[in-house]
Amino acid sequence: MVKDKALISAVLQGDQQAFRLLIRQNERLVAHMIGRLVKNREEVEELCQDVFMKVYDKLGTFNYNSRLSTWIASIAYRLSINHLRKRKLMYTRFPDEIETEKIADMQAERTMDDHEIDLLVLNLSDRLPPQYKTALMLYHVDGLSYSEIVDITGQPEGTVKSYIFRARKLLKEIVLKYLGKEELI
Amino acid sequence: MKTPDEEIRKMIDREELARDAEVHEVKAYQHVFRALSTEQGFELPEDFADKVVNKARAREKSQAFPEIALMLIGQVGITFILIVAIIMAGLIFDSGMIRAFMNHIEIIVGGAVIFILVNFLERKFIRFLY
Repeated sequence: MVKDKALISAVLQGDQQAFRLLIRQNERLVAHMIGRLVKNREEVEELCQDVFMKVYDKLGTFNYNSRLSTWIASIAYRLSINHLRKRKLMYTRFPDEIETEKIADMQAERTMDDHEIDLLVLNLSDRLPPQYKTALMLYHVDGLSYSEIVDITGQPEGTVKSYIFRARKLLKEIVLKYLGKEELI
Repeated sequence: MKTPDEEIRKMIDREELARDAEVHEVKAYQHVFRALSTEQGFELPEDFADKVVNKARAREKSQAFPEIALMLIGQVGITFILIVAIIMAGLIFDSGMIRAFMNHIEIIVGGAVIFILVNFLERKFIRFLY
């Protein structure tokens, strides 16, 4: 937090080197967050730029109630969701069962190896509604706490837990379905 | 990244997995966690930070020009009005005029208070609006 304060203070005083450092420290998180939801590479880079421009504009309003990276991630999340809404690319319904006919055909012919299972799970995670996928990945891949995910998404903690639980369970069911109990023992 | 075993343990703690969960359930979760950890994150170009800094600088410059132009127009306008007012009123500056002002110190104090108040309000409430 102290480092955040010094960095923010320098950026607000017009130190461009400090702003460059702020971007470098957070660009990976922002790119991962946006890249998970938006699949067009050019759009991802453009949105990442928009995020940091917004950070630059609004940095004076940052209230230190969370870490700077969490605040920046919340901006990235909001911009991604707005982008998906504008493009009407947002799935809102949680799939009770994801269609996997192609994979089923593949599996019918031979046993799936680890790499194929990884691809299957990642492919299916892309079909989750963005709120579910974001919560799942922030928790399991980025190692964020529930409270940090609450700050980023603006959703209540119970909702975040429910998103993670349901998304994880769905993926587990798919793995069970396509690998079979015997193969997992 | 939390390890899969740590995750499974946490899930059992939270009773998301029944205590008598079968081995295949746990293994399936481990497959899911391992798969998620192999996610290929989106990589931004090396010069991304420079691009954003340059974009911010360019925008500031383009925003600064109209502001400076407006300020100059305002200053020229005020000076012009002041000159016209002086000519029309036939006002002549001398020490007597300053002494007359000093006799009405409340006007000077009132002006200073208004100036400070306007600055305070602008910093506290208005600056965040744009």
